[in-house]
Amino acid sequence: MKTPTNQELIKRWYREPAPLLPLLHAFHDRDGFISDESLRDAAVGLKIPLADLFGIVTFYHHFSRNPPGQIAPRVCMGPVCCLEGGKQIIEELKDEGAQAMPCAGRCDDFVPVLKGHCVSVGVSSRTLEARPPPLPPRNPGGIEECVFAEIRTPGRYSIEGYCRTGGYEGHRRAVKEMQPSEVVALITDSKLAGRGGAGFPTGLKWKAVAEAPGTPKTVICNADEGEPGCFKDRAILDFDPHAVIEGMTLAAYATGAARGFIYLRYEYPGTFNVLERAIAEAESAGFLGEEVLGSDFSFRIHLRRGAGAYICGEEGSLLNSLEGKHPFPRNRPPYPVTHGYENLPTAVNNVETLASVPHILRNGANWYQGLGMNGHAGTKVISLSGDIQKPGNYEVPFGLPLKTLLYDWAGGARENRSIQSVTMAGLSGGFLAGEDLDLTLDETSLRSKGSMLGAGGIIVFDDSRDMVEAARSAMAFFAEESCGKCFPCRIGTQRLTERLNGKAGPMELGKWIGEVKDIGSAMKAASACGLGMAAPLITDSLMKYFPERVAQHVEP
Amino acid sequence: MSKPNREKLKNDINSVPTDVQPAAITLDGAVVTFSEGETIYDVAHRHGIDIPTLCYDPRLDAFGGCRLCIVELEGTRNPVASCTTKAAPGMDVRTATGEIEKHRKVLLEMVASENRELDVNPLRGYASQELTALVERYEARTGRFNGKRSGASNTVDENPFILRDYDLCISCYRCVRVCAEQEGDYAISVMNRGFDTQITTEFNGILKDSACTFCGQCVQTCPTGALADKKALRAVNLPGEIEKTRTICPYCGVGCSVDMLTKKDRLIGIHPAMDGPANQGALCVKGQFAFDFVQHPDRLSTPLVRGGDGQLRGASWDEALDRAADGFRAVREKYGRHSIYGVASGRAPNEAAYLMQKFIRAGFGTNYIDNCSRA
Repeated sequence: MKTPTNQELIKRWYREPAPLLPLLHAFHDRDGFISDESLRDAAVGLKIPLADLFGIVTFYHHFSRNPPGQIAPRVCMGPVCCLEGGKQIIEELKDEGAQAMPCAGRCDDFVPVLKGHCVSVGVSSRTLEARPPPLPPRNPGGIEECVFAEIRTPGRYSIEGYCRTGGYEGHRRAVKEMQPSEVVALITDSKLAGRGGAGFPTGLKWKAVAEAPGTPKTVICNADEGEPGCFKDRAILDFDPHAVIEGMTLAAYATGAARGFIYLRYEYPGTFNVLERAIAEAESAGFLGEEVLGSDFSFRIHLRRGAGAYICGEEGSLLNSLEGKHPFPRNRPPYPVTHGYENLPTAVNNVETLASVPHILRNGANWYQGLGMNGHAGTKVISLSGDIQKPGNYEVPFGLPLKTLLYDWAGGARENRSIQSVTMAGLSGGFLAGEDLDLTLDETSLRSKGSMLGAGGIIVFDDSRDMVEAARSAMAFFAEESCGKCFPCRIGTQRLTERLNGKAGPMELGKWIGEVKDIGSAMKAASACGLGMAAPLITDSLMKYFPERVAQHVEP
Repeated sequence: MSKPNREKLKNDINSVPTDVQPAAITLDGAVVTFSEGETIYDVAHRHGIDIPTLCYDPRLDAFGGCRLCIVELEGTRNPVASCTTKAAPGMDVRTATGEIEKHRKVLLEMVASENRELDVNPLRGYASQELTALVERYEARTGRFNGKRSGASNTVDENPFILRDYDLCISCYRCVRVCAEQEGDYAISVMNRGFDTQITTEFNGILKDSACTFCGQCVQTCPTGALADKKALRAVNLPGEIEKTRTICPYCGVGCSVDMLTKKDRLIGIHPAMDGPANQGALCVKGQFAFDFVQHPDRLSTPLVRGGDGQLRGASWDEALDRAADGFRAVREKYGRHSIYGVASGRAPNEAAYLMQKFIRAGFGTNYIDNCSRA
């Protein structure tokens, strides 16, 4: 096949919605890096100032500007992988230009190494192999699931497999028999809330979009799963992509949206292929496209691949990224429900949220609510990883005791070890330890400990781990991923990292704690988005649960 | 004509607003009104409350980056940035609680910790003292939060106008925003992210190779002196106090207000007048940087005429004008009236341009008249 020219690639993309990322990926795939000439052509073709375009490309850490570029191995150095061989693999692959990448969402099957569009996995460079990711383990109690109810059925990823167990039934029923407002009401009654971490009631969000003036409206599936220790969205999309597509079409029907995007993180190239195929299948089957199932409802989904930026999971950054702008978060208000993609009403929903919707359509609001425990509604997928016998994605009823998950479901610590601490919300909820591990998995319980459930990543550290080092590595991640827009986060994550790695800061404990606390509280109060507000939970919880280790670190 | 009925007028005026309750917020305990679209910062500013900011420039879209302008808003979990939060009826805002002021001090200590130095020469630029002034106001020169410094000065960009001393940059992006929003040049942007953020141009090159027009707007909005006026800095060691004199830029007919900076009788630099009615702080490269001609030794101070030996010599205006008139007359007699062509300078205002065309048309009888601004 003839190699396409810059102009051919620009012509392919410039009329498409959100063309910048796919065009840059097309250059990246063709040349292995993005040349000056390609950027000059793209700036003219897409009418983006060249200086801005250059700045945007430097923002994403997977876009290369020079050879070896795209084919240089990216080795996961997430909180689990750096303890399980990541460092060694980087060393072993040094000659190929190996570089570290932040958590790549394979914490249940480490260590992922990304080369171009290929992920291989292994604990040393000699054992690296491309293998399918693990299925979510079943819970031992046989507790009823929602998102995972059918995910283990073989062939579920294909449209035939999906339809075999009731797939697209909710979609068909909604389009043929229900008013959009009835879909909104059903989701509102189910008490489904955002599963990406913010926990905003989904029904309310859809209602706001439906009622907001301005068209076309947009539904966005946020699949930029970047939180270290979170790999649930990958599992859902890999094994049950049609559930997410059906969820998106229902969201579109309920809100009156005509276009949809899936914003998928760069680190999931296999998932990209799964989704591309699934979208094509759904289009051929008439579930997507013009006049769906003979109705006057039309909806298309466009798949967009990110390029390596944790902040693009923040919805303002995600919207700017799609629009081809510098991916800084947006000031809120206004919110995306009224001023989202291209400043028009937009529902941004997490993968897990959308995947729950078809089940709720099929089984009803009361059924979904009833899946929770002790008055909490619904379920949450927890990505459990680290020093634990059986890591993996577990769908838990809200309100399940943490210790039930850790010990009864996942087998507890490894042999001869005990659990020292766990993180919450990936890294964003900080650490929990000691008596505070006696809690239930729901926001009320977690907030009472000063933490949060977030996207549902829990990383376990056993008694062999150095918690100051764990905190340093977590803070270094936030510093690396801070976008640089707001002062408290840009400077704060840097200063806290320096204080945790001992490279700067007072050598006297009282002063050290004073500085770390002051930086942390300014970050929590003043940061422009969740990254800067959450990062100091790492230092706060470190000082709370491990004061002796902190003292030893500062005054050895 | 009867005298106006003052009582009736008063009643009329008073009757207008009684049926519409003006929108109001509570600002530090006082109920104040606001207009649709005003931010909390705008309202506070209008009422003389000096909320600190570093990323704010009234000419630019609110950015919400420095977070110094945070205020407490009743009913929200966290403080909000007053520059990006629109006032809404019933808001209860506290602009300077102990907690807020403490966060501001910490933020300023953090900002101070990332720069090579805080005290910069005011000749660097119009806004160059902003950070220093806030650090003083909050007594934030404490040396806390030391660590790596941010920004890297660009030492290879050898242009005559703009010093790119990014060791002093605090990533407020005012330069990037003024270049895009005010000038429409989009010459500078942001590279990398987080603490490695760096102000850049296309391909991180030099300004001469970028879309930069050297208008100097980035220099004048920079709150730390990271971008600095190289021409003004030539006068750092010149004795004397810096004095400012308001005048109008002599270059074109727009009439931009400028403040001439002088030391004794020496013109050393130009600041745009932020309150200039025609320019509101904007200037072009000529108005900003092209002032050396004023006191240049080569500048003509009398008319010159060429003597019989072909050399130029000083002359009176009368003599020079006579010589010019003789020349025009001779050309017209020899080649006809259309052999004369007039070009009015773009520096001339409308009135002078009008006189010029009148002079060419009535005086010489030709329509060959143009203006250099047409090109």
